[in-house]
Amino acid sequence: MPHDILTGLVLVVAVVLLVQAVASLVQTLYIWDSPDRIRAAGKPATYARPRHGFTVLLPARHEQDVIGETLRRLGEARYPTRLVELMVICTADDTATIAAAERAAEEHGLTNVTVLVFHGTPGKSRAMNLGLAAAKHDLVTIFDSEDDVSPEIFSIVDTLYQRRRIDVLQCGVQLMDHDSHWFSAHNVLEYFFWFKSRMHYFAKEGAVPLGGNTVFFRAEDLREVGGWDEHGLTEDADLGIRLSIAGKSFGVMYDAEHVTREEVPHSTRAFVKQRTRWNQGFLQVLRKGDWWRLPTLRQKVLVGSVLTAPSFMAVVIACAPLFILIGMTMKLPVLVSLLSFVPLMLAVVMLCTSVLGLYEFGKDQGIRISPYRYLALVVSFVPYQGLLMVSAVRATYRELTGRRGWEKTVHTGRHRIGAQEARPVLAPVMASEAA
Amino acid sequence: MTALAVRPIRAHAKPRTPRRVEVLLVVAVLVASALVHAWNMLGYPYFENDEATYLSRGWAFITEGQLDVNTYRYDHAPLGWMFVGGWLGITGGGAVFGGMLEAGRVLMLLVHVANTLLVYVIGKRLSGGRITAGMVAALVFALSPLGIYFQRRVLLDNLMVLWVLLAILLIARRPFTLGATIGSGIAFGVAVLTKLNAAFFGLGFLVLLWAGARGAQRKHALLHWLASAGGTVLLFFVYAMLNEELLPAPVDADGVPERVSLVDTFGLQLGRGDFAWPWDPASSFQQAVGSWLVKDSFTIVLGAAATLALLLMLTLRRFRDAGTIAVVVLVLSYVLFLARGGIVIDLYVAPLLPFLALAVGLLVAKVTDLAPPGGLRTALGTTAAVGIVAGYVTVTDHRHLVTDETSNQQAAVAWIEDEIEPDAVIAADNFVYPELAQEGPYTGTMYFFNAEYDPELRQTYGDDWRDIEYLVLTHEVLEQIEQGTVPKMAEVLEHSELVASYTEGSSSFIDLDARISTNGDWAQVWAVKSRNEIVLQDAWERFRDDWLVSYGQVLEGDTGTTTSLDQALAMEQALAQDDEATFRGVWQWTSDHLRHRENDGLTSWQWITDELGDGELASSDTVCSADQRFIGLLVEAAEAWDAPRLATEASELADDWWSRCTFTLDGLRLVDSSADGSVDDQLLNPSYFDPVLYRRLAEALPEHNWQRLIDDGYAFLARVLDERGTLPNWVVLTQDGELERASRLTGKGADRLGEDTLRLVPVLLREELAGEERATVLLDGLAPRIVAYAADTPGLPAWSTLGMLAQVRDVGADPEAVYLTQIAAEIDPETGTWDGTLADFSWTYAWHRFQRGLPSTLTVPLA
Repeated sequence: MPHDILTGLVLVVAVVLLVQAVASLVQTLYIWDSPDRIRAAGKPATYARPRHGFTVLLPARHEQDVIGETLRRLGEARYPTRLVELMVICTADDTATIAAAERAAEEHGLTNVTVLVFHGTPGKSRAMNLGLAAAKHDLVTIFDSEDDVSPEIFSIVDTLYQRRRIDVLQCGVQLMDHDSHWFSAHNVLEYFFWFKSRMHYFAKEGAVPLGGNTVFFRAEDLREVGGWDEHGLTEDADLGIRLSIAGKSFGVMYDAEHVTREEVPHSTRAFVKQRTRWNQGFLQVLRKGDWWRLPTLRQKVLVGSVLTAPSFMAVVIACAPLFILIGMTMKLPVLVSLLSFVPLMLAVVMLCTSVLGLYEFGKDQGIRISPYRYLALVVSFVPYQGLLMVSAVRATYRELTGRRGWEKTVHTGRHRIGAQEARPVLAPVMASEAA
Repeated sequence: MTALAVRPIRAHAKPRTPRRVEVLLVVAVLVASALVHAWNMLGYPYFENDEATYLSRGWAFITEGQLDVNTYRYDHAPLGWMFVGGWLGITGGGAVFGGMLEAGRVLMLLVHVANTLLVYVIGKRLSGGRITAGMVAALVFALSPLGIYFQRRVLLDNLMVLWVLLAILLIARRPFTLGATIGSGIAFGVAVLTKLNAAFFGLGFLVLLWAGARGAQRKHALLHWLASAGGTVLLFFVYAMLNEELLPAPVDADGVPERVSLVDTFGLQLGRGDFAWPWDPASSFQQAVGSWLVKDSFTIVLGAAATLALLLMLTLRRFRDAGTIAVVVLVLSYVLFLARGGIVIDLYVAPLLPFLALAVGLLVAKVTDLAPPGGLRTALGTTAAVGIVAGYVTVTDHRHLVTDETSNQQAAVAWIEDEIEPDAVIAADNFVYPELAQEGPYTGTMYFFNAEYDPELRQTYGDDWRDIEYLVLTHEVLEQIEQGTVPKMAEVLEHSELVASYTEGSSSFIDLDARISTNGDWAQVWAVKSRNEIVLQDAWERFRDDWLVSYGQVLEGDTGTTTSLDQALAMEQALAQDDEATFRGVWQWTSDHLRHRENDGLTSWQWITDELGDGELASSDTVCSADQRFIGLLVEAAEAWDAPRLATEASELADDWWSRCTFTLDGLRLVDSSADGSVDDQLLNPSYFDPVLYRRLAEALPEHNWQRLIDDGYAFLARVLDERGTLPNWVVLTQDGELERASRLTGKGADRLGEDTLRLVPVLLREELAGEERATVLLDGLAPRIVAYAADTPGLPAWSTLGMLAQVRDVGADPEAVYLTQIAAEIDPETGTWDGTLADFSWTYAWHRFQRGLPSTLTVPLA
């Protein structure tokens, strides 16, 4: 009898892993399914006459060193200045940042910079909500001060808003330094697949956990859903879900040339901390329960699975020794074993897809990828999954033990109130080999 | 690919033909396809062994979850019969269609119609939307007699074709999607797991994928098609691995693998047949092509010509479109597989036919494309289609519509159901298996190949082919026996007797001795002989091989003596084994060399052969017991082989024998020892008395008074026993009617009970069993003497005689123990017979000969 129960358990886990692997693969390949999708996902061939105005929210805290450069770059955007408002938001006590922003505006002749000062508790979400209230244009967007944004981004977004029925537009964000760390290539590919393909799948389904930057909203929509949640770690994902519930339509644009370029975390430790934060944020969104109000079951399942994916992996890892034990000591029915083998094969397929993705990334960006990098990608596949699992377990642990604050990344030397990170949703593909 | 300037398959241009017309045309072709296929589909072709194999495995899968009725050996991937099993499950095995074989053929009808539709749609797609291409391809596919021959059969290839065509259609669709590509890959994987040779179509798929996908999609398409196809196939290997049946099996001490192994089986199959270049006329490839041309030269020639024409067009850089390249690659890569030099089984052509048909379809579309769109083009297309139909009506033969090839097979099954007990052990062509074992109660029925090889099944009959009771012999079984793949079945056939034969109306040339059959429309049931008969048969073979020289001389070694008794022994065995040629040869040799006496036609008893191989008569004397046996043998042979001349010879010999070998003395008619012309005292050998023979001769040759010979013989032996207390080897009866000692004439031992006396025992035992009381009296007196003799003079003569005696009478010896320790111990397990001398042979032979006709209550179980 225990044998039957264990067999049933293995079967259930295998089926869940199988479904998850298939879903992950379907999302990853979504854009390549047909030539039409590939075409529709890119930037428009021609730009329309500028019509929409943009308010760029730049929440800042002790960023006197970088805020000037950020403003300068945004000022170079090829879009009419009168239609762009660059709004630096910081607390009144942060005089250095205020001074740096004003100095930069003067220095670079930027006429469209405003500095919004507020009193009370500093907080990124709070800052953005205040910015939203003061925004003078109808489209609102967020950039991270370290982002390398395309000068044409406003023209592209304006054109898409004119030509398509879009309420929320997520534009591509791409990590670029695929060879800086052992885990870089995997991290780069997560962004690549997420913004190039998977996000289109979520947009089609009308349920999108948004990334943190290069995302454009209608100000009225934001006000309608009540702006950002001021308590979560991943307020952007939360906002995406609320916009989904409100029935807003989502657009995604990924163009190799016009992606917002970012860099991978500068150490393994930083990577784990960042990923832990994201995962924990998801758990918070999950706990909050808004997602359950999504209109269709399909959307609930989709978002629910995204939010639980990291924890699910943590559970699988926790159970892995048990499954290894079962696999080694018990003679399971061959069909059950056979079925549990399929997710493993799909993981290999996923790895092959990653290799192909790295090739495409290189081709897209005009970067030469050496053959060694492909090999490294394959070799580091399993350790990378390990890294994701560690982060997932940490997040679950922290959330369960009630540690909900930010983990400070010690060696940045700056006390930023949190980068506006564009965050791909994790796609754990490691199947349990135990069964 | 721009360098090669391949034009992708066009998305459909605006259809010229109204949809309604197209649907009508397609329905018409499908109905025609179904009719031509279904008409007489249960009568032709004959039910092939493999069909039943897949059906029975499918049934075992659906009812027991097994991949085979016995141990699954990885001889084929199993998806094909899992599919068949599903069909049987839906239709209740044979319940709906009157039998599993019938149900299987109905499934094939459905598959065929589906395949015809797929061929149409693919033809249309690959030609860029030309209905002509689809119609022509579908017609060729549906009407080819070669196709019908194999498509009616429940073959994995037909199911495999279904999956391959489905896989092609999925990537020929527009728009080209990754989802469809993955579906195609899985379908192709399923095709490979249905029949492994589907893999040879893989190259054509790569062409279609390359041409179908554009830009960034292409590499993903290739990757995921390969991954989904490869992954699906890989599961089969994983299955084997999980069962611990993947890697080569360890072998036990006898070199027999301890379990099945996928790798071993594949290795075995790859090594099947000898390598021969395809241009070698004796190659399997050319032989197969020859047989296809006989069945349907029209399709083969048409398809080959179309492929070559398309190839020519491709090299001339016209019409260089992906559809054409793909079809040419599909045909050529499969042809390369056929021509690889290994074994080519006739049915291997089945998967090629849809692609030959597509080649014809595409070619016709290309040619009609030369005409401007409109009426002329339509007319050309219609003409081509009508021409092809006309070709099939006039050129090819139509035996598939009229010939009955299955009645004999069904009659054989009916005979078994009427005549054989359900628990009988039957090795059979598999066509009987579903009906007998799965639908019927014949649980002892075995597929002959499994009976030969399956370890578990071999246990059920003790791994001893002699315990198989019946063999259902067919074309297939005979072919395997001929190829030497089933040595046990060869033994079974060799040691069996024909009990039911259904060859009426068969078109097959059947020569069982040469193991030749040319068609499978017949069936026979053979009953395996009893163990005793098997021993006697093997003994005869040994006798013939070792001691029969020239055209009928029994000679032990290169030099030595040939006796008339040896010659009679040879003829007796030849007669029992129905070996007429040898019988006649031996009698001819005997007549030529031993019958030169001046006054009679009796046989001289001894011939000597010297070192040079020359021989001469060593003694012209006769041995009367030899001559009486010749008479009996000739009588029997005349009857067995309906040979009146032998009867005449028997009669003439009997006349001589009666006058020269019998005499009357003291009021008794007795058999002389030899017609030697001695007149005074008569030397007699009591063992020459053979009342069993005389009773038989009394029927055949009533002109002589055999009954008197019997009565007087018994009287004489009773007197000898009475006077001497035993029966000696020899005795002399004087003119005065006195018994005298014979040792002065024949040497020491003549007056004692000896080997000559022993020869009398089986005859007396038979007489006793037939109720002859005088024999009982004799045996009563003789038996204690023989027991004593066996104790004094142990050896084969004493033991074999004691063994026989113990079987019929209680003489204080266990007949089985005597048999096991003395008779069976002489048998060499390799040859199944005795290695001893000719003299030894005659004793063991006598024991086994005695078993024949013994009541079953008295027999002992043979080793």
